[in-house]
Amino acid sequence: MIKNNLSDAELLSHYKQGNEKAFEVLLRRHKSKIYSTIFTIVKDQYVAEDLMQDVFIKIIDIIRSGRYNEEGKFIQWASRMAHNLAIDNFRRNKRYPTIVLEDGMNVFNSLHFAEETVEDVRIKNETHTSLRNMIQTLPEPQREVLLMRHYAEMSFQEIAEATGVSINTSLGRMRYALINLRKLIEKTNVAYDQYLYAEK
Amino acid sequence: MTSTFTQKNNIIRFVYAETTVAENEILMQALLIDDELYDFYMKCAFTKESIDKMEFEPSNKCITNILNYSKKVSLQVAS
Repeated sequence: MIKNNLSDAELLSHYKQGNEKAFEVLLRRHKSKIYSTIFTIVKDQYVAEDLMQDVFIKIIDIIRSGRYNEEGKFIQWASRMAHNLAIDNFRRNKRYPTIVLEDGMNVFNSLHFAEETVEDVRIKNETHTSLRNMIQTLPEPQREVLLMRHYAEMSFQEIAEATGVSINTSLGRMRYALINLRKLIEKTNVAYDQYLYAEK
Repeated sequence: MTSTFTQKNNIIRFVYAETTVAENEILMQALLIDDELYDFYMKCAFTKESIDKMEFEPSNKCITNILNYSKKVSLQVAS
């Protein structure tokens, strides 16, 4: 029996001993974060799911072969891997693909919502899509630091080290990323206030 | 006197909860007296929250494939 409140390190320890349930808890705990990291970059559900599987195949192989370095956080390591794979894929394609989803109609069926009306979901979908598109318009250094901070949960110091810049440069990039996004939000006047900030 | 550049970088760290308790005290005081800095803080906090709420889910099939791969590898390791 594996408890959901075990830490990532504890789950990894159980998994190394052959407990598959521990891996399932770990996967379900972090799937949205890791998938969001990929999807925000590649914008294609099929590609994102392929890359998600590639990331976890690598993770499983590394852990199972005893090569996992237990220093640092699992989510940071996994998200960084996801980010790098997604960026590699993007660079190979040299363009952002058109959004491709399962049924053509339910374009945003990968979004996660609970206890909402169809109209709520529709508006949130539009809002999230709009925001995601805005993130894509940011210069790459700004987009990179934003994705690393939000999805890989890396600190600004860690981002600075990973990208080979000073922490002030890293913070400056994030500052401009947030300012630029805010301007775009104000310009497009999407329904953030009403729908993203409504208390449940 | 802290430069505006440094203050705004500190606000970014504050929004992302990377400041120390002592730094928080100083920043809270600064926010009380500096309207421009307060406006900057509010805009950053708002935008961060918007991004935080944007999350996507992979399909169940994707998750099942990963779990199946893990089980397959486990069996190989065990045999």
